[in-house]
Amino acid sequence: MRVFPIISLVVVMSFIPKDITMAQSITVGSKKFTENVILGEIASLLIRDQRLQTEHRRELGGTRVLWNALLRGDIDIYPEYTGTIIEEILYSADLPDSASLDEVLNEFGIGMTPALGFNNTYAIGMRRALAAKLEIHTISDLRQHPDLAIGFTSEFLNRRDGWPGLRQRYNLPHLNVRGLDHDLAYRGLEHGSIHIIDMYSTDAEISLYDLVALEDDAGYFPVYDAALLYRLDLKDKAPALVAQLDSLAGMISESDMIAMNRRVKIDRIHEARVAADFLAQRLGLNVTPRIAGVQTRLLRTTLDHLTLVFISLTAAILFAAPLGIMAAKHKRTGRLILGATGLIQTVPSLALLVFMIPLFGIGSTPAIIALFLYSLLPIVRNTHSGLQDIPISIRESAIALGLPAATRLFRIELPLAGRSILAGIKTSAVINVGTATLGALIGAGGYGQPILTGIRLDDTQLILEGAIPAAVLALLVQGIFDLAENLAIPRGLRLDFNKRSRS
Amino acid sequence: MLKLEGITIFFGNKAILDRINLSLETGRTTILIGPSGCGKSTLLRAIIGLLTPDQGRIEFDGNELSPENITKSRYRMGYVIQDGGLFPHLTALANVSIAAESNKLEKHSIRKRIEELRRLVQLPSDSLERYPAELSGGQQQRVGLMRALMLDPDLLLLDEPLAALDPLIRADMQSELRDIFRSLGKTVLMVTHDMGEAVFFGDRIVLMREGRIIQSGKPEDLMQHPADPFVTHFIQSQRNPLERRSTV
Repeated sequence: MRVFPIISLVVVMSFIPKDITMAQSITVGSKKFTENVILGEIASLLIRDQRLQTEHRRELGGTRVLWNALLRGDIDIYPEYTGTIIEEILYSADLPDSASLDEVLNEFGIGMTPALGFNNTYAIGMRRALAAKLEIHTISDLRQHPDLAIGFTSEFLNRRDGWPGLRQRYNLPHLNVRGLDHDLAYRGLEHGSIHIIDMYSTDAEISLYDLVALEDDAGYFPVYDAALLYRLDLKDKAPALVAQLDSLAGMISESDMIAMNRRVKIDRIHEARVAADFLAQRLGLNVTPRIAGVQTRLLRTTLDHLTLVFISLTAAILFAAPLGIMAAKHKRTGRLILGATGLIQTVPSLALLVFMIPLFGIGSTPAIIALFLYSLLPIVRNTHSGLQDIPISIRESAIALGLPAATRLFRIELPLAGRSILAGIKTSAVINVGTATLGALIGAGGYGQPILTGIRLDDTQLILEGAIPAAVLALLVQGIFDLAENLAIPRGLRLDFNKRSRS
Repeated sequence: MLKLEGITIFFGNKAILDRINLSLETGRTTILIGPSGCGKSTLLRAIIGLLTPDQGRIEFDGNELSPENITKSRYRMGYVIQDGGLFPHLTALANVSIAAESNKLEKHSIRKRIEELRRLVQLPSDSLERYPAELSGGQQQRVGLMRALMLDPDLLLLDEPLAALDPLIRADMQSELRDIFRSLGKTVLMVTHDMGEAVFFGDRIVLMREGRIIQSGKPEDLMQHPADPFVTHFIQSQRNPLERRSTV
């Protein structure tokens, strides 16, 4: 009994697709904002131009997620900015003044292409009309207007080179500061619910919404030259590719980048198309972008999502049911088990996903493990309570008949607790389907992917492409379990139930 | 066949069974009676091993019962409780046969035994396919009795088996049960709180109060030679329905 959960876990783990380690495929990662996705597409197209297999894991959770994935080899290349590398990634490493950034990165086994040609620095922005009315031209001017509402991306709010440093440098008094998604911030600005945001100097929205970037009069923001980071082993695996990536040096000007961002965000052209056009114009490369249609996309996200849910839920059932039984049989162990699974549940799902990255990298494996952990509690608790709720007279009758413990468990107790156990599994499954949408943030794909892209591009249709199937799947799962309940619960219990509910 | 020596069980600081000595004669029916909370059901539960005595020993067929041999001994005891304790998710048939199947008895002999018992307790044959919820209270108790008798036990323990039935059915079943006990020649220990039932069944009546045995003996002994005023009081409190009217 005690080894059973472990064995079941091992069995299920062996079914987890080894998608991360696809042989000879070079994986590109990108952050979840448009410019980074475009740069990722450019890198992918260059890889395909070298006749190499490639996969683009787009819209991953943040700098830390990508950097760790690069170190682990889950991804081979991703676009980064020098300012972010110095201030955010390497801030704890004591950078010797003499050493170049290149040399420091090499120590991590990471190489960096020369700067691509544009500086996408942070800027503090507000609507031009409001800035003119309040006569705000520089960041220092904000000191006179402590009542303005600020909406920063959560990354900017917390990073060393973000709000904490800015507030100190400029001695800013603002208290009304909120964290929100970058793409939503522009909408908040337009709506008037916030007045000041952080933005990237290459954002297409700056001209679209007629915004003005306030002058950084104290010279606070460092330079954020865009470059591609790649694993040094690529130099052996694909030397020609590295040369090709290096040849992008200085090729993308700030106006080029703004134009590409605008084509994607405002003209709604696919990132791959925009990237291919750029390579055709500048490098004379003729690479056809692969852009999936709605059906192909839906099939892919559905398969990804079902894989996440099915594997994690199956493992959870095999593991949690024995745990629930153990909890019901031994009071003290039971408290421990219920406490521990309850504790897991208190970890916010997003945080749990991110905790998995250092251990399991990115992709479906960490997402499946996080979903597995998340699915334990309802099953454990319902198995436990289902067994506890069996009337004493029935439990004692089984003992008095001289039935051995195993017979009592499998023929009497588990069938009687079946309804409760099944209800726990159903709860887990429905939660699982919803939570799995977050998997996209760590590269697991699924219905979260179109939702993320949709939020980024302010494209409701794309959001619905993820949200509707997720809702339908949740309902479907519920329906299947309702059906299973009717089939799996013995008639004798259903009769019993009817009798009770009628009286 | 069954011998209890100094059985004591504490519940907190209170002894719910206090130094109980009792031995049952083979083939006889012994009735445990007493007011509620006197410990009569507890005593039954201690014998079948659902409770472990804090002091004292139980000897069954010459062997002292222990956690090691209790499971084996349970096959030789049948136990019936007030609400039947039938497994609601199993048909009557499965309820009756589960212990035999778990003992790997032959299918053929199980079927034969069930048919025998069904006739004995007078159940219609189609009722065995039903679930407990589809049976009447009386039928449930008959199935419970079949289940207890399935392995042909030497000792039958019955804990108020008829208390939940309505009076007419109860009267019928009392006579049926007594006939069954007599025809089988089993050793029976039955708990009741009803003096009429005790007198009807009992070769011997054991009267308990607050965890102790006050008196034990033939029904006539208890009435004619009460060991304690409580005995008379207990017997007289269970009035004949016409008694009150005749004294007016």
